[in-house]
Amino acid sequence: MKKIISIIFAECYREFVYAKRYSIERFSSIVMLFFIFFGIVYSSTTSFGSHHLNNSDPISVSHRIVGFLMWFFALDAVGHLSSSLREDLHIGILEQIALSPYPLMFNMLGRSVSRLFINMFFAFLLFITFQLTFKVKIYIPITVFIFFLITYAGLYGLGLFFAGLTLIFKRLGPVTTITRFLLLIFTGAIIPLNTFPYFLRVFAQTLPMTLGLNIIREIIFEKTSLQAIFTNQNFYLFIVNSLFYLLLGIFTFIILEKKARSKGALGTY
Amino acid sequence: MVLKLKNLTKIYKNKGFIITALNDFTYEFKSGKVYGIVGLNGAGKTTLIKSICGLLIPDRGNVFFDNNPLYPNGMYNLKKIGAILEGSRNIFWNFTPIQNAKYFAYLRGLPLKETLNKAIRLFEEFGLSEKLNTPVRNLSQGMKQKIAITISILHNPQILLLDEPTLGLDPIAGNKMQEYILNFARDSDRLVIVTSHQLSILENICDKIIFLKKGCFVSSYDIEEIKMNSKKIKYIIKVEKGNTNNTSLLTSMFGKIVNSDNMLVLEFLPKEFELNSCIEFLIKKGFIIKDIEKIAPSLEDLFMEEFA
Repeated sequence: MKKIISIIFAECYREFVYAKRYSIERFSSIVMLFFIFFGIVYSSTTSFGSHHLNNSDPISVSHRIVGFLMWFFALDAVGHLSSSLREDLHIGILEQIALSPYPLMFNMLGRSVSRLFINMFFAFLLFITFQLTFKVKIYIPITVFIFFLITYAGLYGLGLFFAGLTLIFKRLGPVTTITRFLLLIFTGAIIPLNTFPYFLRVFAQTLPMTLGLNIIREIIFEKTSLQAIFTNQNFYLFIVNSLFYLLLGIFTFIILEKKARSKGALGTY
Repeated sequence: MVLKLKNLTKIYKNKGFIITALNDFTYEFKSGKVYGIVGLNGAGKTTLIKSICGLLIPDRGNVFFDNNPLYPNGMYNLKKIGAILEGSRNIFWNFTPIQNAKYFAYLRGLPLKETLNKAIRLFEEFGLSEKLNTPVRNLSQGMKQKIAITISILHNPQILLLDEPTLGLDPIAGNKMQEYILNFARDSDRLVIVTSHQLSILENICDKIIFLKKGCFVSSYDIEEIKMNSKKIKYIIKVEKGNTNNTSLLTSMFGKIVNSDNMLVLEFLPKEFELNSCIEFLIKKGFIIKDIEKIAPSLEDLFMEEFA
Protein backbone atom coordinates (compact mmCIF):
# COMPACT_ATOMS: atom_id res chain seq x y z
CA MET A 1 0.00 0.00 0.00
CA LYS A 2 2.87 2.35 0.94
CA LYS A 3 4.46 1.73 -2.46
CA ILE A 4 1.20 2.42 -4.27
CA ILE A 5 0.78 5.71 -2.42
CA SER A 6 4.36 6.48 -3.37
CA ILE A 7 3.55 5.93 -7.07
CA ILE A 8 0.55 8.25 -6.75
CA PHE A 9 2.86 10.76 -5.09
CA ALA A 10 5.37 10.45 -7.96
CA GLU A 11 2.68 11.24 -10.49
CA CYS A 12 1.43 14.16 -8.38
CA TYR A 13 4.98 15.51 -8.25
CA ARG A 14 5.29 15.19 -12.02
CA GLU A 15 1.96 16.94 -12.63
CA PHE A 16 2.90 19.80 -10.32
CA VAL A 17 6.28 20.25 -12.02
CA TYR A 18 4.48 20.37 -15.38
CA ALA A 19 1.78 22.70 -14.03
CA LYS A 20 4.48 25.08 -12.80
CA ARG A 21 6.51 24.87 -15.98
CA TYR A 22 3.52 25.32 -18.28
CA SER A 23 1.51 27.68 -16.09
CA ILE A 24 1.05 30.31 -18.84
CA GLU A 25 -0.37 27.67 -21.19
CA ARG A 26 -2.71 26.47 -18.47
CA PHE A 27 -3.87 29.99 -17.59
CA SER A 28 -4.47 30.73 -21.27
CA SER A 29 -6.68 27.67 -21.61
CA ILE A 30 -8.65 28.78 -18.54
CA VAL A 31 -9.13 32.23 -20.07
CA MET A 32 -10.26 30.54 -23.28
CA LEU A 33 -12.78 28.45 -21.33
CA PHE A 34 -14.09 31.60 -19.69
CA PHE A 35 -14.69 33.16 -23.08
CA ILE A 36 -16.34 30.00 -24.40
CA PHE A 37 -18.74 30.04 -21.46
CA PHE A 38 -19.30 33.77 -21.81
CA GLY A 39 -20.16 33.19 -25.46
CA ILE A 40 -22.52 30.32 -24.63
CA VAL A 41 -24.46 32.31 -22.03
CA TYR A 42 -24.44 35.52 -24.03
CA SER A 43 -25.59 33.87 -27.26
CA SER A 44 -28.40 32.01 -25.50
CA THR A 45 -29.78 35.16 -23.87
CA THR A 46 -29.53 37.64 -26.70
CA SER A 47 -30.83 37.91 -30.17
CA PHE A 48 -29.10 39.66 -33.05
CA GLY A 49 -29.40 43.43 -32.74
CA SER A 50 -30.70 43.53 -29.19
CA HIS A 51 -28.93 42.99 -25.88
CA HIS A 52 -30.81 41.85 -22.84
CA LEU A 53 -28.25 39.87 -20.93
CA ASN A 54 -29.25 41.59 -17.72
CA ASN A 55 -32.78 40.36 -18.19
CA SER A 56 -31.73 36.80 -18.58
CA ASP A 57 -32.93 34.29 -16.00
CA PRO A 58 -30.27 34.21 -13.25
CA ILE A 59 -31.32 30.69 -12.26
CA SER A 60 -30.64 29.48 -15.77
CA VAL A 61 -27.22 31.16 -15.75
CA SER A 62 -26.42 29.68 -12.34
CA HIS A 63 -27.43 26.21 -13.58
CA ARG A 64 -25.15 26.69 -16.56
CA ILE A 65 -22.25 27.81 -14.37
CA VAL A 66 -22.50 24.65 -12.25
CA GLY A 67 -22.90 22.52 -15.37
CA PHE A 68 -19.97 24.18 -17.10
CA LEU A 69 -17.71 23.78 -14.06
CA MET A 70 -18.61 20.10 -13.86
CA TRP A 71 -17.78 19.81 -17.54
CA PHE A 72 -14.49 21.59 -16.86
CA PHE A 73 -13.55 18.68 -14.58
CA ALA A 74 -14.90 16.17 -17.10
CA LEU A 75 -12.76 17.77 -19.81
CA ASP A 76 -9.63 16.74 -17.97
CA ALA A 77 -10.86 13.52 -16.38
CA VAL A 78 -11.81 12.09 -19.77
CA GLY A 79 -8.92 13.35 -21.87
CA HIS A 80 -5.90 13.93 -19.68
CA LEU A 81 -4.90 10.32 -19.01
CA SER A 82 -5.04 9.53 -22.69
CA SER A 83 -3.10 12.62 -23.74
CA SER A 84 -0.45 12.25 -21.03
CA LEU A 85 0.06 8.58 -21.99
CA ARG A 86 0.33 9.63 -25.62
CA GLU A 87 2.97 12.16 -24.65
CA ASP A 88 4.87 9.52 -22.67
CA LEU A 89 4.74 7.18 -25.65
CA HIS A 90 5.78 9.97 -27.97
CA ILE A 91 8.81 11.06 -25.96
CA GLY A 92 9.68 7.45 -25.15
CA ILE A 93 9.56 7.53 -21.34
CA LEU A 94 6.65 5.15 -20.84
CA GLU A 95 8.78 2.01 -20.79
CA GLN A 96 10.94 3.41 -18.02
CA ILE A 97 7.81 4.29 -16.03
CA ALA A 98 6.33 0.84 -16.71
CA LEU A 99 9.50 -0.84 -15.44
CA SER A 100 7.89 -1.33 -12.10
CA PRO A 101 6.35 -4.19 -10.14
CA TYR A 102 3.05 -2.31 -10.10
CA PRO A 103 0.54 -1.90 -12.93
CA LEU A 104 0.39 1.42 -14.77
CA MET A 105 -3.11 1.80 -13.34
CA PHE A 106 -1.65 3.34 -10.18
CA ASN A 107 0.28 5.89 -12.22
CA MET A 108 -2.98 6.82 -13.89
CA LEU A 109 -4.68 7.20 -10.53
CA GLY A 110 -1.87 9.49 -9.36
CA ARG A 111 -2.17 11.63 -12.48
CA SER A 112 -5.90 11.93 -12.05
CA VAL A 113 -5.74 12.80 -8.35
CA SER A 114 -3.12 15.51 -8.92
CA ARG A 115 -5.04 16.98 -11.84
CA LEU A 116 -8.17 17.01 -9.70
CA PHE A 117 -6.39 19.18 -7.12
CA ILE A 118 -4.87 21.47 -9.75
CA ASN A 119 -8.23 21.83 -11.48
CA MET A 120 -9.97 22.63 -8.22
CA PHE A 121 -7.82 25.73 -8.00
CA PHE A 122 -8.68 26.79 -11.55
CA ALA A 123 -12.34 25.86 -11.11
CA PHE A 124 -12.45 28.12 -8.05
CA LEU A 125 -11.00 30.98 -10.13
CA LEU A 126 -13.60 30.37 -12.86
CA PHE A 127 -16.39 30.08 -10.29
CA ILE A 128 -15.54 33.47 -8.75
CA THR A 129 -15.11 35.12 -12.17
CA PHE A 130 -18.44 33.74 -13.47
CA GLN A 131 -20.31 34.95 -10.40
CA LEU A 132 -18.83 38.43 -10.74
CA THR A 133 -19.38 38.58 -14.49
CA PHE A 134 -22.98 37.38 -14.49
CA LYS A 135 -23.91 38.96 -11.15
CA VAL A 136 -25.19 35.75 -9.59
CA LYS A 137 -24.51 34.21 -6.20
CA ILE A 138 -24.20 30.45 -5.87
CA TYR A 139 -23.85 28.79 -2.50
CA ILE A 140 -22.33 25.33 -2.68
CA PRO A 141 -22.98 23.11 0.34
CA ILE A 142 -20.09 20.89 1.39
CA THR A 143 -22.20 17.72 0.88
CA VAL A 144 -22.08 18.36 -2.86
CA PHE A 145 -18.47 17.17 -2.88
CA ILE A 146 -19.51 13.59 -2.11
CA PHE A 147 -21.65 13.53 -5.26
CA PHE A 148 -19.00 15.42 -7.18
CA LEU A 149 -16.42 12.76 -6.30
CA ILE A 150 -18.75 9.91 -7.28
CA THR A 151 -19.41 11.66 -10.61
CA TYR A 152 -15.69 12.24 -11.04
CA ALA A 153 -15.03 8.53 -10.41
CA GLY A 154 -17.27 7.66 -13.37
CA LEU A 155 -15.56 10.26 -15.54
CA TYR A 156 -12.17 8.94 -14.42
CA GLY A 157 -13.34 5.48 -15.48
CA LEU A 158 -14.13 6.80 -18.95
CA GLY A 159 -10.71 8.50 -18.98
CA LEU A 160 -9.05 5.19 -18.05
CA PHE A 161 -10.99 3.48 -20.84
CA PHE A 162 -9.54 5.91 -23.39
CA ALA A 163 -6.09 5.68 -21.79
CA GLY A 164 -6.19 1.89 -22.23
CA LEU A 165 -7.16 2.29 -25.88
CA THR A 166 -4.30 4.78 -26.32
CA LEU A 167 -1.79 2.10 -25.30
CA ILE A 168 -2.83 0.08 -28.34
CA PHE A 169 -4.19 2.57 -30.88
CA LYS A 170 -2.01 5.60 -29.91
CA ARG A 171 -3.63 8.49 -31.75
CA LEU A 172 -6.91 8.76 -29.96
CA GLY A 173 -6.97 12.54 -29.58
CA PRO A 174 -9.96 13.21 -31.87
CA VAL A 175 -12.08 10.53 -30.15
CA THR A 176 -11.53 12.03 -26.70
CA THR A 177 -12.22 15.51 -28.07
CA ILE A 178 -15.56 14.37 -29.55
CA THR A 179 -16.46 12.67 -26.26
CA ARG A 180 -15.64 15.80 -24.30
CA PHE A 181 -17.99 17.88 -26.44
CA LEU A 182 -20.66 15.17 -26.25
CA LEU A 183 -20.47 15.59 -22.50
CA LEU A 184 -20.85 19.35 -22.81
CA ILE A 185 -23.90 19.14 -25.03
CA PHE A 186 -25.74 15.98 -23.99
CA THR A 187 -25.43 15.96 -20.19
CA GLY A 188 -27.49 19.04 -19.57
CA ALA A 189 -24.39 21.03 -18.60
CA ILE A 190 -25.40 24.02 -20.71
CA ILE A 191 -28.47 22.91 -22.65
CA PRO A 192 -31.51 21.79 -20.61
CA LEU A 193 -32.24 18.12 -21.27
CA ASN A 194 -35.99 18.71 -21.64
CA THR A 195 -35.31 20.50 -24.93
CA PHE A 196 -34.05 17.22 -26.42
CA PRO A 197 -36.18 14.54 -28.11
CA TYR A 198 -36.93 11.49 -25.98
CA PHE A 199 -34.24 9.18 -27.40
CA LEU A 200 -31.57 11.81 -26.75
CA ARG A 201 -32.82 12.25 -23.20
CA VAL A 202 -32.46 8.49 -22.66
CA PHE A 203 -29.00 8.58 -24.23
CA ALA A 204 -28.05 11.49 -21.95
CA GLN A 205 -28.92 9.47 -18.84
CA THR A 206 -26.34 6.83 -19.82
CA LEU A 207 -23.47 9.33 -19.94
CA PRO A 208 -21.23 9.46 -16.87
CA MET A 209 -22.02 13.05 -15.87
CA THR A 210 -25.74 13.58 -16.37
CA LEU A 211 -27.21 11.93 -13.26
CA GLY A 212 -24.50 13.30 -10.96
CA LEU A 213 -24.98 16.81 -12.30
CA ASN A 214 -28.74 16.56 -11.76
CA ILE A 215 -28.26 15.57 -8.12
CA ILE A 216 -25.66 18.30 -7.56
CA ARG A 217 -28.04 20.91 -8.99
CA GLU A 218 -30.90 19.61 -6.88
CA ILE A 219 -28.80 20.05 -3.74
CA ILE A 220 -27.49 23.50 -4.72
CA PHE A 221 -30.57 25.10 -6.23
CA GLU A 222 -33.54 23.21 -4.83
CA LYS A 223 -31.99 22.66 -1.39
CA THR A 224 -33.00 18.99 -1.57
CA SER A 225 -32.04 17.14 1.59
CA LEU A 226 -29.65 14.20 1.57
CA GLN A 227 -32.43 11.97 2.85
CA ALA A 228 -34.58 12.88 -0.13
CA ILE A 229 -31.66 12.22 -2.47
CA PHE A 230 -30.94 8.81 -0.96
CA THR A 231 -34.55 7.72 -1.26
CA ASN A 232 -34.74 8.73 -4.89
CA GLN A 233 -34.33 5.99 -7.48
CA ASN A 234 -32.09 8.25 -9.55
CA PHE A 235 -29.47 8.19 -6.82
CA TYR A 236 -29.08 4.41 -7.24
CA LEU A 237 -28.98 4.74 -11.00
CA PHE A 238 -26.29 7.37 -10.51
CA ILE A 239 -24.21 5.01 -8.32
CA VAL A 240 -24.62 2.15 -10.83
CA ASN A 241 -23.72 4.48 -13.70
CA SER A 242 -20.53 5.75 -12.02
CA LEU A 243 -19.55 2.27 -10.92
CA PHE A 244 -20.13 0.93 -14.42
CA TYR A 245 -17.83 3.52 -16.02
CA LEU A 246 -15.21 3.12 -13.30
CA LEU A 247 -15.12 -0.67 -13.64
CA LEU A 248 -15.23 -0.44 -17.43
CA GLY A 249 -12.18 1.83 -17.29
CA ILE A 250 -10.27 -0.30 -14.80
CA PHE A 251 -10.85 -3.60 -16.61
CA THR A 252 -10.22 -2.15 -20.05
CA PHE A 253 -6.99 -0.58 -18.88
CA ILE A 254 -5.75 -3.75 -17.16
CA ILE A 255 -6.52 -5.91 -20.20
CA LEU A 256 -5.05 -3.46 -22.72
CA GLU A 257 -1.91 -2.84 -20.64
CA LYS A 258 -1.32 -6.59 -20.70
CA LYS A 259 -1.97 -6.61 -24.44
CA ALA A 260 0.44 -3.70 -24.93
CA ARG A 261 3.09 -5.58 -22.96
CA SER A 262 2.44 -8.62 -25.17
CA LYS A 263 2.75 -6.60 -28.37
CA GLY A 264 5.70 -4.58 -27.13
CA ALA A 265 3.58 -1.48 -27.69
CA LEU A 266 4.75 0.41 -24.60
CA GLY A 267 7.81 1.60 -26.45
CA THR A 268 6.35 2.43 -29.84
CA TYR A 269 4.46 5.43 -31.12
CA MET B 1 21.65 -13.78 -7.87
CA VAL B 2 21.10 -16.12 -10.79
CA LEU B 3 18.98 -15.00 -13.72
CA LYS B 4 17.70 -17.92 -15.73
CA LEU B 5 15.99 -17.58 -19.09
CA LYS B 6 14.20 -20.74 -20.07
CA ASN B 7 12.88 -21.38 -23.58
CA LEU B 8 12.02 -17.72 -24.15
CA THR B 9 10.07 -17.38 -27.37
CA LYS B 10 8.52 -14.28 -28.83
CA ILE B 11 6.68 -14.20 -32.12
CA TYR B 12 5.39 -10.97 -33.66
CA LYS B 13 2.42 -11.20 -35.97
CA ASN B 14 1.63 -8.17 -38.06
CA LYS B 15 -0.64 -8.02 -41.10
CA GLY B 16 0.03 -11.59 -42.12
CA PHE B 17 3.78 -11.40 -41.43
CA ILE B 18 5.18 -13.64 -38.72
CA ILE B 19 8.53 -12.75 -37.21
CA THR B 20 10.17 -14.94 -34.61
CA ALA B 21 12.13 -12.43 -32.57
CA LEU B 22 13.20 -14.92 -29.90
CA ASN B 23 13.30 -18.63 -30.48
CA ASP B 24 13.58 -20.96 -27.51
CA PHE B 25 16.30 -18.91 -25.87
CA THR B 26 17.77 -20.54 -22.78
CA TYR B 27 20.67 -19.19 -20.75
CA GLU B 28 21.83 -18.67 -17.18
CA PHE B 29 23.42 -15.40 -16.05
CA LYS B 30 25.37 -15.06 -12.80
CA SER B 31 26.01 -11.99 -10.68
CA GLY B 32 29.37 -10.24 -10.54
CA LYS B 33 29.74 -10.59 -14.29
CA VAL B 34 29.13 -8.43 -17.32
CA TYR B 35 27.48 -10.20 -20.25
CA GLY B 36 27.42 -8.85 -23.78
CA ILE B 37 24.66 -9.79 -26.23
CA VAL B 38 25.80 -9.58 -29.82
CA GLY B 39 23.95 -10.04 -33.06
CA LEU B 40 22.98 -8.39 -36.31
CA ASN B 41 20.12 -5.89 -36.47
CA GLY B 42 16.87 -7.72 -35.77
CA ALA B 43 18.62 -10.60 -34.03
CA GLY B 44 16.34 -10.23 -31.01
CA LYS B 45 18.63 -8.37 -28.57
CA THR B 46 16.13 -5.70 -27.57
CA THR B 47 13.32 -8.27 -27.42
CA LEU B 48 15.45 -10.31 -25.05
CA ILE B 49 16.21 -7.31 -22.81
CA LYS B 50 12.55 -6.23 -22.73
CA SER B 51 11.40 -9.77 -21.93
CA ILE B 52 13.72 -9.85 -18.93
CA CYS B 53 12.31 -6.62 -17.55
CA GLY B 54 8.62 -7.35 -18.08
CA LEU B 55 8.07 -4.83 -20.86
CA LEU B 56 7.42 -7.57 -23.38
CA ILE B 57 5.57 -10.68 -22.31
CA PRO B 58 7.03 -13.72 -24.10
CA ASP B 59 4.74 -16.16 -25.90
CA ARG B 60 6.51 -19.11 -24.35
CA GLY B 61 9.13 -19.70 -21.70
CA ASN B 62 9.91 -17.75 -18.58
CA VAL B 63 12.44 -15.62 -16.74
CA PHE B 64 13.59 -16.80 -13.33
CA PHE B 65 15.16 -14.64 -10.65
CA ASP B 66 16.80 -17.12 -8.28
CA ASN B 67 14.19 -19.68 -9.35
CA ASN B 68 11.26 -17.25 -8.91
CA PRO B 69 9.37 -16.96 -12.20
CA LEU B 70 8.62 -13.48 -13.55
CA TYR B 71 5.55 -14.49 -15.56
CA PRO B 72 2.65 -14.48 -14.94
CA ASN B 73 2.57 -13.32 -11.31
CA GLY B 74 6.14 -12.50 -10.39
CA MET B 75 6.27 -8.86 -11.36
CA TYR B 76 7.57 -8.02 -7.86
CA ASN B 77 10.91 -9.30 -9.15
CA LEU B 78 11.17 -6.20 -11.32
CA LYS B 79 12.34 -4.16 -8.35
CA LYS B 80 15.63 -6.03 -8.73
CA ILE B 81 16.10 -4.55 -12.20
CA GLY B 82 17.43 -1.27 -13.53
CA ALA B 83 17.45 -0.67 -17.27
CA ILE B 84 18.53 1.74 -19.95
CA LEU B 85 16.56 1.06 -23.09
CA GLU B 86 17.68 1.91 -26.58
CA GLY B 87 15.60 4.46 -28.46
CA SER B 88 13.93 5.40 -25.23
CA ARG B 89 14.48 8.63 -23.39
CA ASN B 90 14.65 6.88 -20.03
CA ILE B 91 14.41 10.24 -18.23
CA PHE B 92 12.29 13.41 -18.53
CA TRP B 93 14.06 15.99 -20.67
CA ASN B 94 11.88 18.78 -19.32
CA PHE B 95 12.97 18.00 -15.77
CA THR B 96 16.28 18.84 -14.15
CA PRO B 97 18.48 15.92 -13.02
CA ILE B 98 17.31 16.49 -9.43
CA GLN B 99 13.64 16.53 -10.46
CA ASN B 100 14.20 13.27 -12.36
CA ALA B 101 15.83 11.73 -9.31
CA LYS B 102 12.92 12.90 -7.15
CA TYR B 103 10.26 11.54 -9.52
CA PHE B 104 11.90 8.13 -9.85
CA ALA B 105 12.59 7.97 -6.11
CA TYR B 106 8.86 8.41 -5.47
CA LEU B 107 7.97 6.01 -8.30
CA ARG B 108 10.11 3.25 -6.80
CA GLY B 109 9.07 3.98 -3.23
CA LEU B 110 12.57 4.94 -2.08
CA PRO B 111 13.33 7.14 0.94
CA LEU B 112 13.53 10.60 -0.60
CA LYS B 113 16.33 12.27 1.35
CA GLU B 114 18.65 9.28 1.21
CA THR B 115 17.99 8.72 -2.50
CA LEU B 116 18.54 12.36 -3.41
CA ASN B 117 21.85 12.35 -1.54
CA LYS B 118 22.88 9.24 -3.43
CA ALA B 119 21.81 10.81 -6.74
CA ILE B 120 23.77 14.01 -6.02
CA ARG B 121 26.87 11.97 -5.12
CA LEU B 122 26.59 9.96 -8.35
CA PHE B 123 25.94 13.09 -10.43
CA GLU B 124 29.07 14.61 -8.90
CA GLU B 125 31.07 11.50 -9.72
CA PHE B 126 29.97 11.92 -13.32
CA GLY B 127 31.03 15.57 -13.30
CA LEU B 128 27.48 16.92 -13.35
CA SER B 129 27.55 18.89 -10.10
CA GLU B 130 27.02 22.20 -11.91
CA LYS B 131 24.10 20.89 -13.94
CA LEU B 132 21.88 19.63 -11.15
CA ASN B 133 19.23 22.27 -11.76
CA THR B 134 19.55 22.56 -15.54
CA PRO B 135 16.74 21.02 -17.62
CA VAL B 136 18.04 17.80 -19.14
CA ARG B 137 17.09 18.93 -22.66
CA ASN B 138 19.84 21.58 -22.45
CA LEU B 139 22.55 19.02 -21.69
CA SER B 140 24.76 17.03 -24.06
CA GLN B 141 23.98 13.46 -25.15
CA GLY B 142 26.74 12.13 -22.90
CA MET B 143 25.38 13.98 -19.88
CA LYS B 144 21.86 12.75 -20.59
CA GLN B 145 23.12 9.17 -20.71
CA LYS B 146 25.02 9.62 -17.44
CA ILE B 147 21.88 10.94 -15.78
CA ALA B 148 19.86 8.01 -17.18
CA ILE B 149 22.41 5.54 -15.78
CA THR B 150 22.33 7.28 -12.39
CA ILE B 151 18.54 7.19 -12.28
CA SER B 152 18.47 3.53 -13.31
CA ILE B 153 20.59 2.45 -10.34
CA LEU B 154 19.08 4.65 -7.62
CA HIS B 155 17.12 1.70 -6.24
CA ASN B 156 20.27 -0.38 -6.05
CA PRO B 157 19.18 -3.01 -8.59
CA GLN B 158 20.81 -6.43 -8.58
CA ILE B 159 20.53 -6.61 -12.35
CA LEU B 160 21.35 -3.79 -14.73
CA LEU B 161 20.20 -4.10 -18.34
CA LEU B 162 21.84 -1.76 -20.80
CA ASP B 163 20.61 -1.63 -24.38
CA GLU B 164 23.17 0.30 -26.42
CA PRO B 165 24.33 2.41 -23.45
CA THR B 166 27.19 4.11 -25.27
CA LEU B 167 25.27 5.02 -28.42
CA GLY B 168 25.98 8.61 -29.38
CA LEU B 169 28.65 9.13 -26.74
CA ASP B 170 32.01 10.69 -27.53
CA PRO B 171 35.07 8.50 -26.79
CA ILE B 172 35.78 10.16 -23.44
CA ALA B 173 32.18 9.85 -22.22
CA GLY B 174 32.12 6.30 -23.63
CA ASN B 175 35.24 5.37 -21.65
CA LYS B 176 33.79 6.84 -18.46
CA MET B 177 30.63 4.85 -19.00
CA GLN B 178 32.61 1.63 -19.52
CA GLU B 179 34.57 2.28 -16.34
CA TYR B 180 31.35 2.87 -14.46
CA ILE B 181 29.67 -0.30 -15.73
CA LEU B 182 32.71 -2.37 -14.80
CA ASN B 183 32.88 -0.93 -11.29
CA PHE B 184 29.16 -1.46 -10.81
CA ALA B 185 29.40 -5.16 -11.64
CA ARG B 186 32.67 -5.92 -9.88
CA ASP B 187 32.43 -3.87 -6.70
CA SER B 188 28.91 -4.67 -5.75
CA ASP B 189 28.61 -8.18 -7.22
CA ARG B 190 25.82 -7.19 -9.60
CA LEU B 191 24.80 -8.69 -12.89
CA VAL B 192 25.08 -6.48 -15.95
CA ILE B 193 23.75 -7.39 -19.40
CA VAL B 194 24.78 -5.11 -22.24
CA THR B 195 23.80 -5.08 -25.89
CA SER B 196 25.85 -3.05 -28.30
CA HIS B 197 27.05 -2.92 -31.86
CA GLN B 198 30.28 -1.36 -30.63
CA LEU B 199 32.19 -4.61 -30.29
CA SER B 200 35.38 -3.01 -28.98
CA ILE B 201 33.42 -1.66 -26.01
CA LEU B 202 31.92 -5.06 -25.27
CA GLU B 203 35.39 -6.55 -25.51
CA ASN B 204 36.60 -4.11 -22.87
CA ILE B 205 33.85 -4.58 -20.32
CA CYS B 206 32.32 -8.02 -20.76
CA ASP B 207 33.26 -11.29 -19.15
CA LYS B 208 31.09 -13.30 -21.47
CA ILE B 209 29.71 -12.75 -24.93
CA ILE B 210 26.53 -14.34 -26.23
CA PHE B 211 25.88 -14.53 -29.95
CA LEU B 212 22.29 -14.26 -31.05
CA LYS B 213 21.09 -15.01 -34.56
CA LYS B 214 17.48 -14.65 -35.71
CA GLY B 215 16.31 -14.96 -32.12
CA CYS B 216 18.29 -18.13 -31.45
CA PHE B 217 21.17 -18.66 -29.10
CA VAL B 218 24.21 -19.41 -31.29
CA SER B 219 27.15 -19.61 -28.91
CA SER B 220 28.72 -17.99 -25.89
CA TYR B 221 32.37 -17.30 -25.14
CA ASP B 222 34.46 -16.07 -22.25
CA ILE B 223 36.23 -12.95 -23.43
CA GLU B 224 39.53 -14.38 -22.17
CA GLU B 225 38.83 -17.55 -24.11
CA ILE B 226 38.46 -15.50 -27.29
CA LYS B 227 41.73 -13.65 -26.68
CA MET B 228 43.68 -16.76 -25.76
CA ASN B 229 42.39 -18.92 -28.58
CA SER B 230 45.77 -20.15 -29.82
CA LYS B 231 44.28 -21.35 -33.08
CA LYS B 232 43.34 -17.81 -33.99
CA ILE B 233 46.38 -15.93 -32.72
CA LYS B 234 48.46 -14.51 -35.50
CA TYR B 235 51.87 -12.89 -35.70
CA ILE B 236 53.04 -10.06 -37.90
CA ILE B 237 56.74 -10.48 -38.59
CA LYS B 238 58.69 -7.67 -40.21
CA VAL B 239 61.90 -8.72 -41.87
CA GLU B 240 64.50 -6.73 -43.79
CA LYS B 241 64.72 -7.66 -47.43
CA GLY B 242 68.04 -9.46 -47.62
CA ASN B 243 68.18 -12.09 -50.25
CA THR B 244 65.19 -11.24 -52.48
CA ASN B 245 65.48 -14.63 -54.18
CA ASN B 246 63.85 -16.12 -51.12
CA THR B 247 60.64 -14.12 -51.50
CA SER B 248 59.00 -16.83 -53.53
CA LEU B 249 59.98 -19.30 -50.87
CA LEU B 250 58.27 -17.16 -48.24
CA THR B 251 55.11 -16.84 -50.33
CA SER B 252 54.66 -20.57 -50.22
CA MET B 253 55.04 -20.58 -46.44
CA PHE B 254 53.14 -17.47 -45.41
CA GLY B 255 49.71 -16.75 -46.56
CA LYS B 256 50.13 -13.04 -46.90
CA ILE B 257 53.21 -10.97 -47.68
CA VAL B 258 53.22 -7.21 -47.94
CA ASN B 259 56.22 -5.69 -49.69
CA SER B 260 57.03 -2.24 -48.42
CA ASP B 261 60.25 -0.28 -49.13
CA ASN B 262 63.04 -2.54 -47.99
CA MET B 263 60.86 -4.50 -45.58
CA LEU B 264 58.67 -7.57 -45.89
CA VAL B 265 55.65 -7.87 -43.62
CA LEU B 266 54.66 -11.48 -43.07
CA GLU B 267 51.40 -12.60 -41.59
CA PHE B 268 51.92 -15.84 -39.78
CA LEU B 269 49.25 -18.13 -38.39
CA PRO B 270 50.90 -20.79 -36.24
CA LYS B 271 48.91 -23.63 -37.66
CA GLU B 272 51.46 -25.95 -39.04
CA PHE B 273 54.59 -25.03 -37.09
CA GLU B 274 55.46 -23.03 -34.01
CA LEU B 275 56.75 -19.48 -33.83
CA ASN B 276 60.21 -20.65 -32.70
CA SER B 277 60.71 -22.86 -35.71
CA CYS B 278 59.46 -20.09 -37.95
CA ILE B 279 62.01 -17.63 -36.53
CA GLU B 280 64.78 -20.21 -36.84
CA PHE B 281 63.82 -20.78 -40.46
CA LEU B 282 63.87 -17.07 -41.31
CA ILE B 283 67.28 -16.55 -39.66
CA LYS B 284 68.69 -19.59 -41.40
CA LYS B 285 67.57 -18.17 -44.73
CA GLY B 286 69.36 -14.89 -44.08
CA PHE B 287 66.47 -12.59 -43.14
CA ILE B 288 67.00 -9.99 -40.44
CA ILE B 289 63.97 -9.96 -38.15
CA LYS B 290 63.07 -6.37 -37.16
CA ASP B 291 59.82 -6.83 -35.30
CA ILE B 292 57.35 -9.49 -34.17
CA GLU B 293 53.85 -8.51 -33.16
CA LYS B 294 51.38 -10.92 -31.58
CA ILE B 295 47.78 -10.26 -32.53
CA ALA B 296 45.11 -11.89 -30.39
CA PRO B 297 41.78 -12.52 -32.09
CA SER B 298 39.25 -9.78 -31.45
CA LEU B 299 35.55 -10.00 -30.84
CA GLU B 300 35.10 -8.43 -34.23
CA ASP B 301 37.02 -11.33 -35.86
CA LEU B 302 34.78 -13.77 -34.10
CA PHE B 303 31.69 -11.77 -35.03
CA MET B 304 32.70 -11.75 -38.69
CA GLU B 305 33.33 -15.47 -38.53
CA GLU B 306 29.90 -16.11 -37.01
CA PHE B 307 27.87 -13.74 -39.14
CA ALA B 308 29.68 -12.85 -42.33
